[in-house]
Amino acid sequence: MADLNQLGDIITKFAKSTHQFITPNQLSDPIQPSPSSLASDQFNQFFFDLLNALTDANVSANIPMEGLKGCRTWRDVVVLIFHFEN
Amino acid sequence: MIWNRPSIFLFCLATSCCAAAQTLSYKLDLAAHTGTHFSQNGLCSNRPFASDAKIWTAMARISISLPSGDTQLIANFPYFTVSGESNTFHIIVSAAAKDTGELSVAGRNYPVQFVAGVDQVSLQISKLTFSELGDAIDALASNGAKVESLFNDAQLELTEYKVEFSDSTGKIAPTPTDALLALLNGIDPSSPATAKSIFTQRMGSLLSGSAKFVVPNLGDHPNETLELKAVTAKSYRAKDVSLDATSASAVKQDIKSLSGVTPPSSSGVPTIFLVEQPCFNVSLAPTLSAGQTNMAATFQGRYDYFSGMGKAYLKLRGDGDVSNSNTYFQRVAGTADAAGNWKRSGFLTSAGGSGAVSLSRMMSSTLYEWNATGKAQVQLPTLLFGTLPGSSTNPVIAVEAGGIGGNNGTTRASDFLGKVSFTYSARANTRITFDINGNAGFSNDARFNKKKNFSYALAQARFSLSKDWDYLMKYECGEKSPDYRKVCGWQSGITAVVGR
Repeated sequence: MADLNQLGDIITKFAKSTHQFITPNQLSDPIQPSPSSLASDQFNQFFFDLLNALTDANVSANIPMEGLKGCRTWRDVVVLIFHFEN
Repeated sequence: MIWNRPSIFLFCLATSCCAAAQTLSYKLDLAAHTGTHFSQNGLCSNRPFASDAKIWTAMARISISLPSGDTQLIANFPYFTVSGESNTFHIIVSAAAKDTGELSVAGRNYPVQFVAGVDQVSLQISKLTFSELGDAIDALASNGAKVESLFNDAQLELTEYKVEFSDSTGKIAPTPTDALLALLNGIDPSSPATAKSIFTQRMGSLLSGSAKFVVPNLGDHPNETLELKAVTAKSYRAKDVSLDATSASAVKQDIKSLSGVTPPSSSGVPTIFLVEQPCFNVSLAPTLSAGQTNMAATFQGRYDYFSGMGKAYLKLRGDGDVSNSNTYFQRVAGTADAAGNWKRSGFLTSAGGSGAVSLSRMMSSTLYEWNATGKAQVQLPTLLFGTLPGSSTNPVIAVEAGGIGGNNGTTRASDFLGKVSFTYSARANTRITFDINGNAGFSNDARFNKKKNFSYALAQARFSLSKDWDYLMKYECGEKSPDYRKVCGWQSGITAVVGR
């Protein structure tokens, strides 16, 4: 239901709306603070917020937790979702 | 040590010509599915929430470690540049000849799928409950050889391509990431078979000549057209890949933290919690109590009605014990709890009302008792021991106060009742579960078989034989409503447990 461009738009909107992170200028910017440095409660919140944003955008995907934790940039998040859409 | 010149020359040649290669590994992961699956009916509830929502997937995906100098382009995936090369990137494409397999865990079989995404294949065991997710992850994590043999049986093949790129207009200096994203651009992965087919066609055209693709809007030079061509650099087989043990321990910790998680209220995701007892269990097994061996049947069942976000509930519970001897309990009971739920810092607190009725037939007369109480309950935020979730694996403590009455053989009066109860199950591994639970109560009158208080405790071990059948070894001692006769004894035999 979404190719890289469309997923990019969805994640741009999500990245700018989540107060947990520094607002990125572009998707190649690092996620700050990085998901791997978040406390487990904060990371779980990020995980469920992302699940919900994708649900709202009608994207059907399996989102891997450790994969999300390994993302360094917002672009990494886009490519992760791209690989696990179904 | 003295080195002569030919030795030094050979050593230098060896180190310079054979730079460290990248290594491939399987990383374990757990995934949750987007969507509105929380609103579907659960096995024993009108809404499943986390503990029996079939939204979870156990996953093994292929990952790469690179030698210093090489650079990974996108996290999690085998796309990289090699030191000393320019205007190129490398991509390792994985595929499997088979798309199904099977994983056996503690007598339960889970269908394994090898899901072919655009350019990567991953092992997935999908549509699992949270408890099943724990079992599947544990089975994969504790036996790396199993993961490797599943991929081997599926005839995993990995091919590394070296892709060269250039800007056909000569206006920009494209990055390797631009070129990689251009190769993936325009593919809609929501139809995996079509997406895979398009990608395979693209790689075919790059290997036989060259092709042009547009950089998507997440590249450094969006909308620029790049020309790509490729050569096959290397091939790998399943035997070249092994399980990353660190990922196995990390994903087990994820399960543990998820069992106590409170999703943000803004997210529309209901509070996650583990239900405090299996959906249904029944056993017919010999008991040894008061020096006599008899047959006894016990059962427990539940059905839960939750509000949309799980913040209010009506829980219906039934249980009973029957035997061919008066040395064991002879009773049935039912309870209804209506309460609200709050989750703070992982603690799931409930407060509301509870009503219960119990019946017993003794000496041709029917004894019964009712109670109506206010009830507060807290579920602790984490699995106390281990990393395997299941019903009651987060301990639950409840306190009740209210009225009690009926004709229980001692009195027909209505009195005050105070009661505390505790439930906890620990899963030592996917086969063995230890359950303990107990309760104690008191009243203003000596109504509990001529005493003012009663207590009951149970400790049991269950060995999982198959999906729904366990071997049970139980010891229980205490008094149960309505007659509060004291029974202490052992029970050992087969029990059916559905919806763990």
